[in-house]
Amino acid sequence: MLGFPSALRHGSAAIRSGSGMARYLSTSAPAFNAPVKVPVALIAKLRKTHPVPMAQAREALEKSNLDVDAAVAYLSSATSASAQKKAAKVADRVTSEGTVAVSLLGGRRVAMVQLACETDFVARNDVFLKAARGIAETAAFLDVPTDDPASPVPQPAQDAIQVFPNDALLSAPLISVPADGTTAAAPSDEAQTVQQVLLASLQQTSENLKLVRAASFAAPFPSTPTTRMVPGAYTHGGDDTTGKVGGIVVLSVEGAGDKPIAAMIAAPEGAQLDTDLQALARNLARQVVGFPTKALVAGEGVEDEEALLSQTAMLLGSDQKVADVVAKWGEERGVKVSIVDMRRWAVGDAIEA
Amino acid sequence: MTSRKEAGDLNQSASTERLGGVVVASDVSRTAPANQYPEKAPSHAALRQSFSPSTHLILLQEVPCAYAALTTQSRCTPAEPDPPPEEAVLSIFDVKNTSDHHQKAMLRSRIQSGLVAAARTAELRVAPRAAVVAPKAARAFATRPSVAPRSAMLSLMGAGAVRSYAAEAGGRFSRAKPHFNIGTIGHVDHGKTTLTAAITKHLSEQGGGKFMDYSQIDKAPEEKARGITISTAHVEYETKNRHYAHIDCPGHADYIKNMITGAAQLDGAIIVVSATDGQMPQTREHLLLARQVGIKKLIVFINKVDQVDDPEMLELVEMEMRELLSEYGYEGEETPIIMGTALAALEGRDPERGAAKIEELMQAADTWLDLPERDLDKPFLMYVEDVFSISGRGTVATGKVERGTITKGSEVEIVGMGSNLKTTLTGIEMFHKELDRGEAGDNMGALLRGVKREQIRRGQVIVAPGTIKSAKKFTAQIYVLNKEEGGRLTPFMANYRPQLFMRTTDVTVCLTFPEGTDRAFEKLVMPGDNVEMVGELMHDIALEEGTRFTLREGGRTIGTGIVSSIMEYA
Repeated sequence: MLGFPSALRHGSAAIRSGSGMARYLSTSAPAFNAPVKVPVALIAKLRKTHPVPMAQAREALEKSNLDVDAAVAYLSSATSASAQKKAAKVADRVTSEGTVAVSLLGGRRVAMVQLACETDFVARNDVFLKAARGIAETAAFLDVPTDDPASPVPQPAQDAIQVFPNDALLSAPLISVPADGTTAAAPSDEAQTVQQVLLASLQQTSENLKLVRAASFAAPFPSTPTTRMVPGAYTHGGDDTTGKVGGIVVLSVEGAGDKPIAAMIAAPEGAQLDTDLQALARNLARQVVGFPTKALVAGEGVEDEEALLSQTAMLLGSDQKVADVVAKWGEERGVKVSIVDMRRWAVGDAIEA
Repeated sequence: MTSRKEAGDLNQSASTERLGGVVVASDVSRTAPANQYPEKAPSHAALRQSFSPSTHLILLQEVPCAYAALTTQSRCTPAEPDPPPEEAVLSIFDVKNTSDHHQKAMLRSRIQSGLVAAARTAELRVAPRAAVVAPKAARAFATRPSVAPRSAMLSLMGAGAVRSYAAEAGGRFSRAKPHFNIGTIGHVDHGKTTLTAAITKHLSEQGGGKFMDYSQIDKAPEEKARGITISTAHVEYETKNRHYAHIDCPGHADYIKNMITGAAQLDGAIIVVSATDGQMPQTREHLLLARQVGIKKLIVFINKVDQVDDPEMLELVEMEMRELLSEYGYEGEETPIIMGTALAALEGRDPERGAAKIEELMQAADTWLDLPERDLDKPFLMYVEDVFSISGRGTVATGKVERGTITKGSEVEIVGMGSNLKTTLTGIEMFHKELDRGEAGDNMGALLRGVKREQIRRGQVIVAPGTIKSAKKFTAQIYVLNKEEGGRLTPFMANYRPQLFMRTTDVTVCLTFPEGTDRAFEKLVMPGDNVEMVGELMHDIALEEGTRFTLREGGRTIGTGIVSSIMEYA
């Protein structure tokens, strides 16, 4: 083993004693304004939970009077001068790597964001991915703010999925969704904004991080009994919600007969229909991701195989066109399914500024 | 095509083959009576040809001695020298007429090794006997024990060989030192490029390579613009013990792709960490990459130590690095961690923390990072391309020796395709001539004792017994070619069945995701991906960790892979 200085050894003993430490430190804290000698053990402890650079860890502990909890708060407020300075320093660097994160909330809302960084080492790192997921969840939860608060939610149309303005998203408080994906906790007063979360990640990774774009869809509320909107999302090249390529689709489902879709879902066998619809939406998102899909229908600048509806539905296990497969799927279950919108984003897409 | 120079070279090559081959043949004839080749003795002409005209004068005296040496080696009585037999001339023709460049190149390298071996034996064995037979010649040898063979070798190089031992001549690459591919991995700001420049500067001052400054090394932006993500080996330097090629790893996916396709292979790496920052979250990813590409040992360079005033902080950086190394399966306690400042070394100030630390770093690289095993030192493996039945001799399998060496009379094993047969290698031949030793790179014929023609087929391998097993199921890192590379246009899923090509055979493989993969049923593999998959072969073939293969479907290559572990042997 290495010969550690006494402060370090002493410190690790203090860490082991847990809560006793803060008390011990607060009583022995030296005078406030004098430069404080920060024990390395404290820096080590802080970096275990918040992997910020050494110098910043020391600064945070100095400023917060050697209290680890206070230092964490100081760091996560991310308003520290060093974080801003760092952000300014790296602002010009090229961010060609990154991730696309999706979030599907309760089968009613969906969002997709692209977050960029400099190297794919960072793009694979938990710190970065956690931030990306958090931002996607925030976008899904909040939905796109409308200029006219009185206007009803957008009708199911071609542009059901709306672009989430970056500025609006950056200033929004971060909302993280519990693992079960049901309801998100309401943002508390001292919640961090998305911008602050980005800054904090930037400070930890020392790479230029940028929110590239965001889009979201929310099912109309209150919903109409005749139409049910079903969003789906899929990512490839990462884990379940992040990846190098992401796709989201929105389906509009109506009852084929007299019975409205709401009644069909409410019926005893409706739960199965709901599950099936979600699976179909996810599978269509997968189709979107798997093929270089540009739009719903072929048209100007969009070849047949680049349009979702005219693609071969290979990932739905068929050699027919997607439109036909979806129509047949609906017939078998007594519903009319139409795909109303889709997006496919990949890291490395050329994006017009 | 064949310039005069080259023809001369080939001429020499053919005679050299004779120099080695003939002697062996006479040996062979005794142990293997069935041998069809007549016993031959080395001729003056052949010997003279094998040495270059520039050493002619010395040779006139030495030929008898060399001759004696050779016959001593073959342990048979020297016969009367006779003119070059027709066969030698014929074989020269054979070689001349061949248009196969590869074969020529191979021949040339064979000549080199053949000559070195011949020269060495001459040196070692001649003296005592020569003293009796020809005192004059013996003196010539005694005074110049190594000049003749060496100069013969050198002039041969001059005649057209590509490789050179004469690095001093300038501009030529020397193979005198073992080669090592070293990489730097680290965060953008931590000074990888500065360190690289400092290393080249420090070593160039000691005569090992050329100093490259920051702008020469940091070509990354231009290369990125041209679509080159990893430039392999444009930085090189030498220590006293090794020659290094320096590679930077800008990203994970790029590097993995290079590793799988075999374009770049790192033998070891330097992890660069800044003392001001310490390890960063992505340092974990750096170590993961090192693990994934099979780097067994690392060195850590903690840079910018002059910017940290507190020595305890430095110790913390070191301690954290050791912990992390251990966490990722490296020898955390033993790994050399060197603290210094690359910038100081580059600017020539603060020698204690600058140049001295670079020296220490390179010493650690020389001693701590293990040299990769050379192909020649690995256990013998030859893949069977074709099988012949030669009446009066038996079954001969031809193919290329991938690695290792083999001598006549060795035990070998035939592995793969359901068979596992042990036999003895009773003869080795190349270019219609017998040899007593085959080695990596040779395209040879192997005469196998007691093996029927039906018992061995293309696709099997002949190996040193017990060194490789036949397997049916394995995990592999696979890179799937993208559209631009001529690969698939569409993704595939689990249970995809392309044709796997490996060595001289192909077999259908079923690809699935490793157990425990999240939502494997709907997971896609898209063109351009690199991915870990499990492969199950229709029938077993000889496989081991590190075996490379190609995946093809419908006449087009769709991917390439490297075996990472064997799951099930046949």
